[in-house]
Amino acid sequence: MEKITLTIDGVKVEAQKGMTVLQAARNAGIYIPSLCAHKDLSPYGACRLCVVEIDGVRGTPTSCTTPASDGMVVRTNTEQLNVQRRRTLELLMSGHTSACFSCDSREDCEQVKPEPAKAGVSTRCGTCSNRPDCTMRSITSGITREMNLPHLYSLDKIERDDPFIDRDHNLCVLCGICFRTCEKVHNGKGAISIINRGKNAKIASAFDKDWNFEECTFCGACVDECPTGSLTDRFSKWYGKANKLIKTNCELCPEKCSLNLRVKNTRFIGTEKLSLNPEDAICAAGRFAMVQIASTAGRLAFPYIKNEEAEMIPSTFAEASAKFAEVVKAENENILVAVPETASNDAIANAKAIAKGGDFVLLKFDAIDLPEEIKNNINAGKYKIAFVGGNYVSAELASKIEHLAIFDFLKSDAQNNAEFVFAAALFGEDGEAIKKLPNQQSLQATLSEICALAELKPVSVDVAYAEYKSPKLAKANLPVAYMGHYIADLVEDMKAIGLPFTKKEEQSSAKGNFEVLENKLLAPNFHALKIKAPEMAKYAKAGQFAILMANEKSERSPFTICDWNADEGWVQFVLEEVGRSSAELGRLKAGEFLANASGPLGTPFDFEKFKAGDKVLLLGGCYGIAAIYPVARKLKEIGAFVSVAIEASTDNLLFFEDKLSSIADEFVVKTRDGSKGTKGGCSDVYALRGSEFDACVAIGCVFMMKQCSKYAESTKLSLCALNPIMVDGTGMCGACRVSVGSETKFACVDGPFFDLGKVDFVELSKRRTAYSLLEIDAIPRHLGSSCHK
Amino acid sequence: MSENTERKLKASGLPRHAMPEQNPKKRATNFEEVPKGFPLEVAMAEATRCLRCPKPRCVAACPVNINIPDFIDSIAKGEIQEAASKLKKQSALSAVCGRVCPQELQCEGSCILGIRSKPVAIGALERFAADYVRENNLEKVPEKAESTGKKVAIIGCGPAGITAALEMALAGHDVEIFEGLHYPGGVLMYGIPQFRLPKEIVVHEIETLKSLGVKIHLNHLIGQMESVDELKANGFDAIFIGSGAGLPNFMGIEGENSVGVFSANEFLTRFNLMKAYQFPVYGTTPIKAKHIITIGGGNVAMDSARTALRAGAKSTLVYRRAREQMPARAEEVHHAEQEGVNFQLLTAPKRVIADENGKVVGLECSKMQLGEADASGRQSVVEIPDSNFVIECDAIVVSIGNRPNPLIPMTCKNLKTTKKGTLEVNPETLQTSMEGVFAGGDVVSGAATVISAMGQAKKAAASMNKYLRGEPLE
Repeated sequence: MEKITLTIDGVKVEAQKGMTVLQAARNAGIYIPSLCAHKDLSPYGACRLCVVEIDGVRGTPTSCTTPASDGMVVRTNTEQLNVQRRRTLELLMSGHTSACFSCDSREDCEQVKPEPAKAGVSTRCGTCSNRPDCTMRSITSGITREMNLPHLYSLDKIERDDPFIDRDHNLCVLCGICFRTCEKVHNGKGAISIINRGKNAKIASAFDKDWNFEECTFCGACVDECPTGSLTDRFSKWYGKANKLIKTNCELCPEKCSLNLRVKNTRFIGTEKLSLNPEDAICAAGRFAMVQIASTAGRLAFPYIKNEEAEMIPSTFAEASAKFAEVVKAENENILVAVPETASNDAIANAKAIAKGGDFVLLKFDAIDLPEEIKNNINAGKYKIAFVGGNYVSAELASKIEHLAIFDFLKSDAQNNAEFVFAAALFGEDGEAIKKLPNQQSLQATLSEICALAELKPVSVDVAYAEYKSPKLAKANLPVAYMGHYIADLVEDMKAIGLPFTKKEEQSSAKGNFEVLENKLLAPNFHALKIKAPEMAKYAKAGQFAILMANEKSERSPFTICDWNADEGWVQFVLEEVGRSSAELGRLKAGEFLANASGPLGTPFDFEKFKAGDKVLLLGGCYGIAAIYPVARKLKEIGAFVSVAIEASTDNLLFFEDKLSSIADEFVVKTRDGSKGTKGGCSDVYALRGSEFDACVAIGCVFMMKQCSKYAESTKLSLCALNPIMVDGTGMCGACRVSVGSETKFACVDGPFFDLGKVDFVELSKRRTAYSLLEIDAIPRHLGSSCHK
Repeated sequence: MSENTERKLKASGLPRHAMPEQNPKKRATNFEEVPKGFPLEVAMAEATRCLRCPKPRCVAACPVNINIPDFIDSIAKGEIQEAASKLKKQSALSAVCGRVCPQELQCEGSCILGIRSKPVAIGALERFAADYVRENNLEKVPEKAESTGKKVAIIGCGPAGITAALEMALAGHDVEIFEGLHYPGGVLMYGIPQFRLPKEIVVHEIETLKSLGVKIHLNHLIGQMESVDELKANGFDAIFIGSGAGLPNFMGIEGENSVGVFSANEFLTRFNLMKAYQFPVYGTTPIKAKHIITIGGGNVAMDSARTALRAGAKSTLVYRRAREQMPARAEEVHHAEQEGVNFQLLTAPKRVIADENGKVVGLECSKMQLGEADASGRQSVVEIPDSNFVIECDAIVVSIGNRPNPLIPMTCKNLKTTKKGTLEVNPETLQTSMEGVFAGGDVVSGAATVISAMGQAKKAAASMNKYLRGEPLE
């Protein structure tokens, strides 16, 4: 290829003819920021961040659309360009929920909160599943933190009515990568594009219909390429970024597409296509179902062998395969071996060898049953020994085979009537990268082990697939079953695509005991939940909390009592959606019931330490904005001078301003992006004016309180209220223990109020993340689930 | 030879029947109950082993003084319903006690047959009678005395509270129970695991209470809501405090607040009350670890170590004394060992080791050796110098006992407590420092057993009845 030479920022660089200026620069290791350029997609010129100056060219062309030519002199980093980029970025960001980008404490905050909260809505980086892998973050940190334009969040409703994919248009910057990817992957026939104009422009299918009814095949390519977190994989998004990719073949249908398994610290978290080339496209099953099948709760962890009392006893792989091989050795006919046709060639060859002179059956890849003829044979008692590579036999048929081995990954009734049960390792779990339990083995490993132990020689078999249509091109061709299990039984969203499933009777849950009187959305993710609880209202005092359970299966989670009325018999909580429990509560509507509300709990705020005329500074962030309200109200009653400062990342996350400003003598609003009040946080107020006050009470997230604790000595008394993980909330479990000074305290009974300057916030933040991975697993992530709004 | 002598001779020659049990390898992977109970024929056969001693030592050794030979006699005759009725009159929770009592220290420990052969399987027979009538719907609800019009408040719906409530309800009083958690049963629900005490049994006993007209207020924590004084003011003629010992002790060693160190209460509550073993159907997160170390040697430690196995982990029990000093029931120790709990005895924990994220990675221990016996006869242990070693693990369950929750005495200044935080009571009447306020169970004795709590509750109930009738207590 022809070489050209150009000068970029005074450096002579070589490039190939046909490259764009951006490519030439990147090739030479010179950084030009860009959002919409993608190495596998043709230039688009949308974000205009990659502008450069070129001698002899008017204006500031976008480097991604300008072909490089020999002798060109390019500047990428002049003052004018930087100003222009900053302006462009500000314009882009004014519609994006970007408060954390301009926050000066971002790095410190993210150290305390190493993972984003699993919130219902992404309102900032701290609640965005895309945080670990966000292009916007890397771009902005290189350009500016100053965002001075007014924020124009559209606050569009998040679209969650399609299988697998959540769409949050509030995060979208219209870089166009998604629909360009779609077009490329599907040979120019994309299912999505930009509809509408101006502020209403958004990524959608034609006429903004549900994607499920359109040409979208749910290949997930758009989701994988989206740089902003607008398009997310509902199931996998909170697991974060993969740190290893394992190339393998999908086993769900005869196409056996090559794809990559995404692995994070030995855990399988998703799949992705190998490239954007149309031949590497994968179907919805490959992209979304594989990981959900592998993540099914209740996976068999080890083999079972039936003992003399006909009990299935847990065993090891070595023992089970050796014993089954013994059985096989003793018989030459009357053996049945049935495995799916999608098994590996080696597995099939081994399976055939084990069948010896008996029947060897290759089952259709998405069969859920054995062929009639074989069933008749079983009923007639033809087989003494059988190996069935999946959930293909009923309990009744299983009882008619003397030595039956079932290979599966989930429990089934038939297994109770088998003699051996082998625990399956699925998709790449037999390799090193994905953490597998020692006694789970892949079908291939199981069969080859049995073959070797039974001293049999495998001979390769040719497999021909009858009437097979690839699911890559049409959803209608998606595989319906895997190893004898309906895929839609394991992957709920497949039901919406129209795949068959086993109908289950819905269990009605008992009506709860506490009526919801009102559930108001105060700000994105923040709900004011008012419930009827006369007993609690009668005894509630400022600073106390209650344990709430949305339904009988919920966790017990603590929430601060923010307001109450003993005469009217209600209590109000402000809760932030950060996971399953809070999402379930947030979803309750007036007239519905929550299962349990235990409270009041905790030691109330000690007002005896205060007298009329005392000057008190109250600092509230997040749910703390609501939590300081009853304290402020009571202090005001006592006659104290009450100064209230509240903080939020950005203006649309503020609430209770009216309520608080109406009682406070002084009222200050701080936002991290400066969109309302002054830029910064409550700790700035404390730092600046702490010495004017007798006491300070800070309630908010761990980071906010940690920041405030630096100034704890500026007031005689400084308190914080802690909200760690609790189970019972009555002093019984000790999950909430915190280090205060040199002592260990229980936040539920000794607290929630503690000396702000003495709390070990680092330890507290670590203890709060104890269940972070399980918290993701706990969230039901399918269409119409209890957390899905 | 008289008929009686003949029977006795025959009985003493019969071997003790053992309950069939779930295979240890199998049960270590599930939460189903371990012993499967006697079938009818076996129960009747075992019942014939009882010698019907004229002065039965077993009755004296029973904390609630059940007339053991009497109910066993009914079983021997095949009158199971009769046996169960006899039991119900004397114990509120026979299906529970048959499972969790330390019989080898009580009834069975004093059975005369035990001298030459093995004692009668009293626990298994008690359990059998209660299970049989429950499963076959033959249970007779005991009759209530005529209403007295007196109101009784019971604080805590654990073994003590349930027993006191049943006694008081049968005596004709209006009984209301106040329970802090969202489910009744106390330690029977949150503490003792499903594989040792199926929760259906506790639920059944609670239903019996309700059918006697006992009102149970859930989510109602006395001390946070009404104080004991307020309860009195609200018209309760007598009050029984059975709030138990729910505050877990920790060791106070370095690193104990690391991520992955749990109290046995938390560990067991997650799995039992909150059903974390059915996660993610249930929202409470289980403890997922490869190797869980349980520290302690009591029943709760055994429950934790065995639950750890069922959670899929390797389970090690670290105890500073020797096996002989373990306070746990012999059966539990035996079951734990059978299932594969690794016992690390004469080993004292010294320090929890955590990684840079604050997560537990190991427990540093030192080796101990047995020393002189102390005043109570229990051998002391002394540390072997320079014997420290580290056991790698990713979770630690601290199971070294509990104290009573101070909430009730804190909010009621007239209630006197001991140095240990337990309530001060008259040992004979179980009345507290407040007139008309009685107490029993772990809140009085510190952390002990279900049956001792029930025994105290029964005794307290008798005093309360006297008190309510206006009779002198002593």
